[in-house]
Amino acid sequence: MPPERREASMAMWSILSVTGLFLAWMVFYYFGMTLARVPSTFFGSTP
Amino acid sequence: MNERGLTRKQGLTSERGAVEILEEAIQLLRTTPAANIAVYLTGAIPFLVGLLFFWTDMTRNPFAAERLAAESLAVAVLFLWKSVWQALFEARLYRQLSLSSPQPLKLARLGAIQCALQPLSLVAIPVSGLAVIPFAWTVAFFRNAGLFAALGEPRAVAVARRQAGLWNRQNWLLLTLASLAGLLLFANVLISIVLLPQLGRSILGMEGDFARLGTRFLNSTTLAVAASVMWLGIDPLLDAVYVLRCFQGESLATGEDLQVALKRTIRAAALTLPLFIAIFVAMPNARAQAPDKETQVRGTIDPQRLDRTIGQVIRRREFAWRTPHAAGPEPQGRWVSWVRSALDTLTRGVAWVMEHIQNWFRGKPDENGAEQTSTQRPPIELWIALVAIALLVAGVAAFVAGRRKKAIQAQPVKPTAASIDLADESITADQMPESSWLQLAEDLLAKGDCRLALRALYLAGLNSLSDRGLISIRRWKSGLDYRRELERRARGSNDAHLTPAFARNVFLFERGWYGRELVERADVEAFAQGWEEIRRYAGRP
Repeated sequence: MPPERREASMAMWSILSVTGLFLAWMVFYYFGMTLARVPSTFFGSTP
Repeated sequence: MNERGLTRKQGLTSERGAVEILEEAIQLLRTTPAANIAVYLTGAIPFLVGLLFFWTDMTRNPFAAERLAAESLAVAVLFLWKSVWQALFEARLYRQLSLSSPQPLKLARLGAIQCALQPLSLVAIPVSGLAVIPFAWTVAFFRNAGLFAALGEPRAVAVARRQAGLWNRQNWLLLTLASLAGLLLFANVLISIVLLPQLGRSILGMEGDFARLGTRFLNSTTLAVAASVMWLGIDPLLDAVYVLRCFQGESLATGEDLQVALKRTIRAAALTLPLFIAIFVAMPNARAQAPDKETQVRGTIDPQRLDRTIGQVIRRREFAWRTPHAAGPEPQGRWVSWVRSALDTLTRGVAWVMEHIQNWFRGKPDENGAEQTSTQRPPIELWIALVAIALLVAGVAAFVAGRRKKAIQAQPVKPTAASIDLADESITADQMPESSWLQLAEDLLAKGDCRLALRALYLAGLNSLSDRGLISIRRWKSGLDYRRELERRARGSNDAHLTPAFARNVFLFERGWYGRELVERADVEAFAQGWEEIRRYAGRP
């Protein structure tokens, strides 16, 4: 693989991996927010 | 890796059964070195622990939303960590199957691919599950992508996509079976988690917080723990399954599975061939062993002596019971002939009844040879026999019922104050009610036996605390055990004086009961005053 193409590929994968991290963060953030909004009585705690 | 020329037709023609793949996957996991399992757990355990913490914090803590951003970022990082280690685990499993020499690991590239691809699975798998049809393909693709990235495949995504499309029916069946196994495992883990504390309390007398929770132990956190344990069991199995599918998919073009099988056969042959050669070389020179003197003597045994020995053996008690009686004249005599005639009469009677029953159902042939129809009236003998049988059954039933009524029901024996030996170390506070213990204490005090009165008061106090649910009485528990139990159970109560007052009284009792000093009336009164105090504290809301 030519060096310039290799660098472009590395840059692309770096951007994609950071995007992936943000996507995972977003998924877990909204998941946690949903859990936090559910009334605690649903999970068996005293209100 | 070689360029693959797979077509769907080729793939379908060599599809293997889902159960067969599952069996191979289990075998693959069983034979994999412990280091490979450690690689998997290095990724999975931190992620599951982090996820469980995140779940519990978000569901239980009312202020958890303040930490939501940081905690969700941590879980996302742990998810990516798990994805990388999972891919390494899959690659190790693949190398266990494959003959090809492993390519050098490019960890940065693997991390980048996993970080870019696996977060998509968090969205894509649930969405494809809702859409149903692409679900199996999606699951296979994300697992394959991790595998090929870890194997150093330059076109990991393209190869993973192509392999995911192979053998769709097998893929669906595998996921169905894995889901069923997961459900079963989940139920088993949940039952174990819920029942173990109860079993510990029932069998071993271990009373902890989990045992006291009872059915309230079954909450969302318990479910999450059970689901996590289930996932730890099913996830590596699915990894092994998709590794096998990819290996077989690759082998369609490379024939690597045949090469592996051939190599194994050659290895096995190489091990067994010298043995066969040794056997065939040695065989022409082999000679049967010459019969020794004893065998020659045994060969010329006397037939009459043999018959005599057999006769002696079959007359032994252990064989005689199964030997038939020798034919000969029947025994004679008045009793013998009476028994014989009674048996004959009974046999004839039974035969007569059976014959008439059969004729009734079949239809008895009349004098002209034509059969009677079943609608005709049965003979009077049959009715008599049926009535006799009914009377007999009713008589037996009445006899059995009468015997049952006569059975005497045992009344539980309650120990009275007179039957209690207070000097006996094995008596427990729940053998009598509190009032009886107090009465006994008063009687003993009146008699001047302060030491026994002290013990009766102590047992009355324990009984009182047990009635209030603050302790549970067990024969093996010491004063210290009761004190610790009271501390634990009264932790939520409003009164902080209860436990110190109880500790003081336990000290007074143990000094009087086990100590060498004589117990005075003043000691008993101080003890009784202490119990009044404890009762007052324990009775507070």
